[in-house]
Amino acid sequence: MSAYIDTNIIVAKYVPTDPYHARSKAFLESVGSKKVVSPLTVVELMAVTCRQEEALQAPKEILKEPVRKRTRAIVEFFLRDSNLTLISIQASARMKIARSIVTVPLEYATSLRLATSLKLKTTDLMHLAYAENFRSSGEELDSFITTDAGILRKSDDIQKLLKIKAKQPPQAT
Amino acid sequence: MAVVPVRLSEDEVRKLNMLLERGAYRSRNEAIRALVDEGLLARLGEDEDVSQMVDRLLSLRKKRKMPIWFKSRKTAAEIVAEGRE
Repeated sequence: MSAYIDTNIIVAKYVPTDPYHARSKAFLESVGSKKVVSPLTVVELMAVTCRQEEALQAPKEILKEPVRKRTRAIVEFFLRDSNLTLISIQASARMKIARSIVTVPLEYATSLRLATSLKLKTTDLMHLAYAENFRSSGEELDSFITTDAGILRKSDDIQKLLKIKAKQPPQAT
Repeated sequence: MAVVPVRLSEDEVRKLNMLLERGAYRSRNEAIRALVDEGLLARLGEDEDVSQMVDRLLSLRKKRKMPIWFKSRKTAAEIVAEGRE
């Protein structure tokens, strides 16, 4: 089975003071379930790494590199360090909105469908849409691992709608 | 250096000769190598550039060091949520 990994789990692995640091690190480094992320995760990791520039601790040889190059290297390191699988489904949907018929990435159409039921933030909806689309494309994905309180509060609704269990990383043993 | 046989059309050879006549390159060999370099850089882009840095970070991790971390009072969920507001 596969698990979709929310960005906060990856970031928690690199924030030693985070209450979920040990659990996230242990889960991400565990073998067993395949751990997948989406292009949206990559964008969020890039944005977080840039925004947290003052908090970033890295070897001098990395810090002296141009920000763009350094950030890209760090994000690639995050993905490879936890053996995360980046998945992108090339699918689109036709939508009629405001008298225009437009072709949009499938994740947008799924997010629109989920918005009224889940009432979550846009990015949360997009991550869930990626997870749902991975699952419906044949990926055996059954869980969405996150520490986001808003998503976890909707766990039952997400399970009913998407057949995906939103949950925290398991306790580190 | 490796030798790679490549077939070029007459038009491509004519254009290469034009570059030589303009003095851009000293030989067709040099021109082709420079153009292949440019093409490779454009295609591979930053992926090529960051691979050494990523390998360095991963090798530090193998030595049980955490080469990258954030010294933050905020939780990871708070840090990520800031971008989702």
